[in-house]
Amino acid sequence: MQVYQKSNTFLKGLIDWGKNFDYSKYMGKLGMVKLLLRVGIAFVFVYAAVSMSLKPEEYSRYLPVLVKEFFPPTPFLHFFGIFEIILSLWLISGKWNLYPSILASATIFALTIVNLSEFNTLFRNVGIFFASLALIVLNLNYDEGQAKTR
Amino acid sequence: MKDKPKLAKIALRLSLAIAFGYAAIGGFLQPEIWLGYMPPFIATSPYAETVLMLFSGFEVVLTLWLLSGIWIKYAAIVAALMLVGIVGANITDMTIVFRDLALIFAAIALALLS
Repeated sequence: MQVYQKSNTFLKGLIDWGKNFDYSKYMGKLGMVKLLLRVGIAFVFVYAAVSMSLKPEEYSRYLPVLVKEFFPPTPFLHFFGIFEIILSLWLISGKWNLYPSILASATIFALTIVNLSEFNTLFRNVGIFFASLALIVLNLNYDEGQAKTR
Repeated sequence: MKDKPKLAKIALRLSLAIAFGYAAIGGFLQPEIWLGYMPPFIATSPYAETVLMLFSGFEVVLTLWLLSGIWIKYAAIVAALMLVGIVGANITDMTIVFRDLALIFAAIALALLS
């Protein structure tokens, strides 16, 4: 009975702590916005990387003709998948946020430009590109602040 | 320095407005293609094209709302909910709609920023 009461008190305390936890003190609204954008963009890269590793034949149609001429599609897609995973991890890590944001936006831009014939599917990439621009702008803010404190 | 969240907000509004705007125009101009993204129970019904037109009309309204800059928080919430609905209805086409998940996060970010 005592164990039950103790665990009940502990659980209640834990719930109260969660309710009263001041997230903004640690992250702030801008921090949360940046995290959401980073996670969203990273998810797209991770999903594409995993998917193209599992079904390279489905993704080889997105490869530009020039790339197909010089490289065999499947190994190139595996290589590109690894690049996407590294980029996602970099985005999630939160280290030097500005640079993965620029790299992500350049990658999405390039992927869309070389596949304009698939625009009915890839029009969403334009939206993601603008989201990555928003991330760049927000990280410019952060990096300037950091630079000032250095 | 203070303008940066404002600039980010503009970029996020454009991000969502372009996605919804393009889909709306596509729905009006090439309904035969865009009907493929409707849930099967709608796509096979006799009212499929009417539903697509209504949906595209709503997307136009949402696009204009996002571009207008008025009550953006609510526009972003509506956009996020619509995107969740689109992903949910096309979960079997995840290789196409996985990109919408980034837009859902962008819409939540916009709601938070507004």
